[in-house]
Amino acid sequence: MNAAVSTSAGVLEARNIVKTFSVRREGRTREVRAVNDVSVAVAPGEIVGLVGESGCGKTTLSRIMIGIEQPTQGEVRYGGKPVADRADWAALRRSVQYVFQDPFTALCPTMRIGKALAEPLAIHGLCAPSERDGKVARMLEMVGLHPDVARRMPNQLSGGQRQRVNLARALMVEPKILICDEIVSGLDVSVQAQVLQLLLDLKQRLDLSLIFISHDLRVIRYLCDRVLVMYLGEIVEQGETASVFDNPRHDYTRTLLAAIPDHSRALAAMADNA
Amino acid sequence: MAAPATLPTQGGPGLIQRLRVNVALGAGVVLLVIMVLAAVAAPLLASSGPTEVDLMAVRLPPSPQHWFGTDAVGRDLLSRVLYGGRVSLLIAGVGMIGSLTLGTLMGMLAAFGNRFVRPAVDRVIEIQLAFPYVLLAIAVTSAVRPSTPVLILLMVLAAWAAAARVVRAIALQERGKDYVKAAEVLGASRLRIAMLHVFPSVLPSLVVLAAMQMAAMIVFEATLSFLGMGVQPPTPSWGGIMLDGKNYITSAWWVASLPGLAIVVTSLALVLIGDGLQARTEAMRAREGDR
Repeated sequence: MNAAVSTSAGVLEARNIVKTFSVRREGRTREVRAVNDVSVAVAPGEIVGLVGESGCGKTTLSRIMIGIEQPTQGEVRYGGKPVADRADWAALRRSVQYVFQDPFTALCPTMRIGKALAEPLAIHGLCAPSERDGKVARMLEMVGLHPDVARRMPNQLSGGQRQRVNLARALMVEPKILICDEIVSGLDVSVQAQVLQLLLDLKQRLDLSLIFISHDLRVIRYLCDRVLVMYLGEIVEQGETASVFDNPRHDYTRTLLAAIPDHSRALAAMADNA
Repeated sequence: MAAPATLPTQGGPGLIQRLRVNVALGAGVVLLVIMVLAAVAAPLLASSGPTEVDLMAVRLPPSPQHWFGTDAVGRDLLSRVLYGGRVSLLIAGVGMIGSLTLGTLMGMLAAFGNRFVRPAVDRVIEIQLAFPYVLLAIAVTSAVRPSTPVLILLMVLAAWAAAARVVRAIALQERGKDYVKAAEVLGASRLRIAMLHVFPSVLPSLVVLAAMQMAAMIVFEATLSFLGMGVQPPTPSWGGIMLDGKNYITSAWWVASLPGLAIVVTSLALVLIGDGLQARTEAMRAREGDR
């Protein structure tokens, strides 16, 4: 227990999180443990990968960490203090932001991109109203979009463009930690690479920490310093990305690694690039 | 995975169905425009005032002089139906706007209120939906003298709950979507989410509701006036004129049936418009890849 008390400033931590859902089948109610006693922490400047198959609880865990879902047990801590009430969550969301998995549902369909991006500035009064358009244009350029995109509606953009907009919107409040839930899994492979590269650039430029959730081990390997492997609601293995990939200890991790098409060739290719 | 959402109108309505929708919508608009123009231009079109009595020309059947015939005291029926249209359409319009305003407010409260407000509003909507409105009207008009403001109030009371239920359903559906959660994470207040994010998605359905409720309002005004609880004589309204003709239905059929025809045509036009708009918003949603 004491070992987990890394109470330095800026650390986001989920402690002993349990989340159960009631599922009703054939008239009987059954408890399903989506997340079972899981702890995660992310320190400033770190990229933590959370990997596991669909339905293993990684999205639920990430949603608990931003307060969209409530844990059945356990607590979320930020900067060493528990996040308890509404005010705490509001404070946390000034420095921790979230990018949703599905770029098509995460943007309000009736709001222009420019307005959607300016909204966080207006809500928190981050700058004078006259400066908002300029900030939005600069942010659009930073995520690799033309400033004219501000005048478009969400349905006029492609999936990759929308995901860049979602990323930009989360960055408008200048967060220190960004939680990315499968943000490239809905995109074409060629676009995936662009968005990942963008994420790495932004991480460098804005000094971000990332929690990066994915079921794609190649993406995790490419991006993360540290990786946690989730299986059926529990963390079965964690450690430095390289050591987990080169020397997996848990059977599930081995199965995952073996399932990567051309794993050895992909590794070789990445080693060449590095 | 994301590809189907960007494909154009796959599985959307076919050409024939789209054509049918457009023809119905067009016919509705044309009919409604005719009825509204006739009511607005009543002073130009009517051959006499709506309350001008001519005791020498009582209960005349339709003829070149009196296209719609005359009633029991010799008033020109076409003039009365034209002027009655002004009264009926105006009252229905004001009633519809009042009902939609109250309904939208309550529907949004039922979706976005706090945990005490939501169930309370839900119960009020249910009670209102369960209450027979003609009974309510009889109760109210026996307590206070029937007049036009009372009539409009009754119409709003009778119709707002149906609008509230539609608004609530759409708002709740939108509320569960990721974009609302994203706004919450960015710090948006519940009021802000309701007004700026969710309400614009409710708007297309509100336009459909406006047409449907306008039709219901016209019938409701006619019902109450026919029962003597609505617009009071000698002011003509479509329901009121039908009441005048009720006693002569076998000897002078035109007095009751021609204002009835005006009611049927107008509400038919509005229902056609409502159906057409509904089909269009649905097609639009399907195109947007709204999931």
